[in-house]
Amino acid sequence: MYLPEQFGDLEVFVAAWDHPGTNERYAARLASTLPEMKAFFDAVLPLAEDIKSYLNALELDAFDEQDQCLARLMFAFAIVASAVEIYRQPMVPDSGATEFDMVVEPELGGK
Amino acid sequence: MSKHRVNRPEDLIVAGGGEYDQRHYEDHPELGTDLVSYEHVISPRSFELEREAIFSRCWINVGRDTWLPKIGSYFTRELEILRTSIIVVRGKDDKIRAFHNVCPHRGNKLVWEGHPGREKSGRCMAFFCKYHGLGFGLDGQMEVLRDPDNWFGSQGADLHLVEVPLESWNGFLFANFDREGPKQSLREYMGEHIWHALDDFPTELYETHVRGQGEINSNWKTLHDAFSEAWHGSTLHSEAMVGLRNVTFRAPPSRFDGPHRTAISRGTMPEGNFSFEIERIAQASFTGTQVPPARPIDAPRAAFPDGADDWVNVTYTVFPNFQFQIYRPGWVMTYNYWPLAHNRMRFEINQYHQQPRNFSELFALKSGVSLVLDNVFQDLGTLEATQRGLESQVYSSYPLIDEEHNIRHFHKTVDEWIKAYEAMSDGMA
Repeated sequence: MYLPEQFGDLEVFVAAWDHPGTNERYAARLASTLPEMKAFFDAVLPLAEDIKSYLNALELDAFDEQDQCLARLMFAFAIVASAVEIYRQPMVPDSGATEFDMVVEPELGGK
Repeated sequence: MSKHRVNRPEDLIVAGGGEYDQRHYEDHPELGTDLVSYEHVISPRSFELEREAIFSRCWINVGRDTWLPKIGSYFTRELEILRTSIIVVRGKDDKIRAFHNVCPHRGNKLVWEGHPGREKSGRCMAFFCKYHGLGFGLDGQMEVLRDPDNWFGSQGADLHLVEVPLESWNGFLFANFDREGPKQSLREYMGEHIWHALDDFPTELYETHVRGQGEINSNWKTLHDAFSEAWHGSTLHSEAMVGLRNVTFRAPPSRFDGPHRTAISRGTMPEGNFSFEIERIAQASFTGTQVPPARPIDAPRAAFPDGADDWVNVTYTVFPNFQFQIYRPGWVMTYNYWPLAHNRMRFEINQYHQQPRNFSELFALKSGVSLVLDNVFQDLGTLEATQRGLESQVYSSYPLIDEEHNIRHFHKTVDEWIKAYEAMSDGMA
């Protein structure tokens, strides 16, 4: 079990969408298809408020491994959301000439 | 000039704010209204001139003091336009200094790892050259001389790193690469208005750091131009920024202080007016002012001396290549435009946020980073298209609209600095 028990329905998405940082999450978005992203998005969406409530009850620096995995799935959800809801494709339209990477970013617990 | 109806309140999210009958060209007749040449965006010679006329003479932002939390903390910066790399380090006396990142023995780049073109950061108590092991202290002085009996006279013992003048603007570090030394202090260079503009900002703004960068086939000034007007948002970013669709954006007049400027945005932000599920879950709007892990801050006094209930954003542009933006929800974003060639640049974004107190705030912050990435991909992709179009030289000059007065001011400033340099060079010849 990678996730807290009550969010076990999301276990099937851990392999594809649990990544350590924004660059890896964005790369996973670009490497996936709209149906794959939509399946993930549609699974997280109805649970999102419960996930936030559950994680908000914890101190950010006290997340155990399952909580951290759940949080990372939420960050991946944020990355795929625009592809699913706005652009209807993995890549932002007309961004074929662009390269851009995050160099510093807060992950769990901030920096 | 007739009054301009700006945005209807119901669709106004981020906009110029209200109705006004001002036109920028009337406020700033010195900017003119003529077509503008973009020759200096496509010319290799202009790139070389900018090296000497601008980047070697202006104060250049190279980072922020909060990136160096402890004694011995350092980072390197690659400055291709200046053909150098620098080390910025917090010394044992807690003072932050900058040095050219070059060993004085045989010119090897001093601090690097993996690839000599890559930047590095970390913490140490001395810098050792990878080549022959000479060690230099955090103050740049020789500390470890290898094989001391083998050097002639004091040639080894006298070696030291070359310090680069470095000054701080409320924690933002600016270096000066004028070979004869700075002609002005940073404060004189900025002028009193910009110098004091950040004085009332709480230090909590800078608790959490986000940084991203990328390279693109474009002149550096073209990206500056893109981020010096907001009206492209209602077209280029209309898919995500629903609140800007069909909005005729009219920015309030900017304030120009010599080569620098202050631009403000005013508008209203209807709460809970979200277009997408992710906005609702993050409780952050995609239109303009996203990311609130945030305790909103008061209107910055320098930009709004009488206060303001409807301020959205203030952008300070410090010539030539640094922009500082503060957003009402209480976060900061800076841009650095680094020239690499006449048609290639590196773009650097730094964001500073208040420390997230819980998961929801961290999630809002991360959602904001995701949005910024999407928008940057869109902006940068368009830049290469612009560079290609300009290089075709189908047109010799371009009509900048009144809304683009910041761009007009910037290009005029670039031309003035180059002309001043050429006049000085001619005088010396």
